Amino acid sequence: MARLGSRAALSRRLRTITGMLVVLMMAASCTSGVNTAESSGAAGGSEAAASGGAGGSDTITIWFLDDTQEHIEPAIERFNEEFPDITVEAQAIENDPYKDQLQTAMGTEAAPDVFHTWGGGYLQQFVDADLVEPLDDYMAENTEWSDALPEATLDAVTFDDAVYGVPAILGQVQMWYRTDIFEEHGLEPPATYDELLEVVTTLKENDVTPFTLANSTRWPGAFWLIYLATRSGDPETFINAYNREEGVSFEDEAFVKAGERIQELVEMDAFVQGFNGLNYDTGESRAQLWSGDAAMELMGDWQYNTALEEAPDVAENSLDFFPFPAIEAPEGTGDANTIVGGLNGAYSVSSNSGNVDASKALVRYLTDTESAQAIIDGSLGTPNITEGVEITDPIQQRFVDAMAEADNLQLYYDQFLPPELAEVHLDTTQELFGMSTTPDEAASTVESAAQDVLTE
Amino acid sequence: MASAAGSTPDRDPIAVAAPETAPRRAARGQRPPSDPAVNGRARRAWRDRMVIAGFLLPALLVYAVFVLWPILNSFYFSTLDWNGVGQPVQVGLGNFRELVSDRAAWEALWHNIVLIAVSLVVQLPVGLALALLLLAPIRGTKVLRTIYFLPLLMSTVAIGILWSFIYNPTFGVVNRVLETVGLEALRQGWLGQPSTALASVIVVICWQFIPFYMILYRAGLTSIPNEINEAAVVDGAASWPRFRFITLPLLRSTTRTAVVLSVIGSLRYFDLIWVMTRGGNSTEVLATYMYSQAFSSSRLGYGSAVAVALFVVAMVVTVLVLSRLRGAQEY
Repeated sequence: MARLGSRAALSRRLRTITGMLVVLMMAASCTSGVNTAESSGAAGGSEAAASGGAGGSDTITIWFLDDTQEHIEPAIERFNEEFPDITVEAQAIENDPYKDQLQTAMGTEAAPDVFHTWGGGYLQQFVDADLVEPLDDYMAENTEWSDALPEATLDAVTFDDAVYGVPAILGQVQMWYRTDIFEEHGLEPPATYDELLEVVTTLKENDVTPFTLANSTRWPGAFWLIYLATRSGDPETFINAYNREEGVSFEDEAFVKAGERIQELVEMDAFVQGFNGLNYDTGESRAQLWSGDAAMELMGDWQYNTALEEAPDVAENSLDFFPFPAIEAPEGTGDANTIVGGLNGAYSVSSNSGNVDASKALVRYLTDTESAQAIIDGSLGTPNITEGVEITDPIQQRFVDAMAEADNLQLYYDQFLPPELAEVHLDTTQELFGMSTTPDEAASTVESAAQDVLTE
Repeated sequence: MASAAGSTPDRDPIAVAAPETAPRRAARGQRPPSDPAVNGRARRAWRDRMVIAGFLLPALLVYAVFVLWPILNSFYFSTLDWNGVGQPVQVGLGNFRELVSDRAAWEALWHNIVLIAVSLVVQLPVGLALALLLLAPIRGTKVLRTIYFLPLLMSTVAIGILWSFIYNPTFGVVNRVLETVGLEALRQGWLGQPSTALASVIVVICWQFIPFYMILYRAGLTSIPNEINEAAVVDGAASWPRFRFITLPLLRSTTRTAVVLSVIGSLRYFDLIWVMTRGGNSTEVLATYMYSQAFSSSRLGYGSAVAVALFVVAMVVTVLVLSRLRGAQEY
């Protein structure tokens, strides 16, 4: 009996111990499960949440695009000279997931203190929700910095007469081409759209793909639509349609004609095969430009920096750009003085920031003249400030000149428009390229969405 | 019967916990409460229940916080016109009215149905075939098992990017192989055109999930007693009838699990489609549509309505599938 009793006692103890162990293990596996879900779901979200949650005034977080590291890091270093006690947690995020990730974090504890946007409708929704700090007072207090900022570029970050962000990098879309391929086939950069079509024909005859394009993310194809629309009709059409001016809409002939020209090019097989399924972020279109399978790509000025990294040989010897050619009257406006571009990096401060003052100071460092120099040195695009910046690279000098000489800067539609309308514009443009909609249909789909969204 | 603990010394204490259910307790209740053995048993039953609760509580808590609460929340969100950051506006069933007449949503549902069909027709049979192969008396099954299992171990995003490269029209393997064997005419922009994009993505989905059904069926197969097959062999049954009339019926409960998992998985499928096409080129399914509405278009309310619709569809389909496949257990 004694033996049995002790055995029972032992098994009781065993039961308690195993029970506790299992509970512990379950708890552990539960929490670790949650952790992995978070870190895989929203890459940096959890880290930012941890630091943002600590919320202390001694740590601020910044979210930026992963290809601008060379600009962000030195700015943070200089910031830390003034604020040695503040730790800046910098979170680099890939271009295409960025919007969704910020959208999810804003208004929660996971929101970064300082964040990148492209200005426009995307930033405005956060401003409307009172999630962004106005910067006017801070700018008035720090005139040494703010006086250097060109006023025109603040338009896209100004809402209801208050400034909610400061641009650091401007972007412009240009037609990038392989000089060696053009030479080989006796081609010159075309000045008119008809000449461009001739270039396409010649290249096709010689088995070179005229244009490479990665349109699964949809914005690269939108560049085409925007340029063709601004070249086909009055460059003011877009902004007038957005402002719901009398007699102007997104069904304007400029947009329909742009759609027709896109489909004309698709029918000519001017684009690389399967372009609607290629991903720009993983380099699927550029690869063909670097390899010489394709001769041209309509792409932002960051293409140069990317080329320097991915194909330095091509970048240094056989890559150049020309402006998107003019469409001659009566078909178009006949001029090529409107540049499609926008703010490729504007920085704003979140209202929920644990340290608004330091965050504003970080924005100052990110957008001052020294940062502009870093942007030039890193070939990251056209800096917002060009006064007092030393430029040695001729291509970079041409970016700056092109921006200075342009009559108009047409902002990327998808950054300018409210997200809901921007998505319709991107989707219909991809369908235009895929020939699964007609130019008229695409235009009227955008217009009816605009009536819903813009008149609310 | 010197002590309560000594009364059932040979019973495994933990095994006791499970069967100690209502009828037993009722039977015990009829005895006078002063009986010391009964008291001890009642105390132990209570302690067992505490242990059970201790086991379940953490999981239940996590489940409630991370599954139940979000589901209930999205029911609420689906009645809002809300961009996720601004002031929400109550619109009642407005989102659902819009959803019913939303062509894109119906198209997405249709793609889900295609995905379900292909999963059932391709993934399950191939999974079963591979499982049979692994149990066949041939050499190298261990190596094969590892190879077949590999896709399941890879991160979905990595798979998506890898296969995007494989499908790349210019330097991708698929087109290069077609070129090499003289089938230039068949080269395609696989992911870039509505006519081939969905099929191309589904191929990858099958590639990723067949190993899962293989493992499931392998487990099912090993649980079939050898004696049955041996008896059939003695009776002179050939291998096809043995498979058709013994193996397959005995795998019914495995198949039932596989069908339910496959249908539900296909209904809420998201990852690879998002990575490879973002739902473009006619590959939109309900989950990607939900995501792009909620986050890319900043229509959290409408996106939630899509989520609720998806939830209801999945619920109805699961109940239907389960009731159709009930009675699978007569063996």
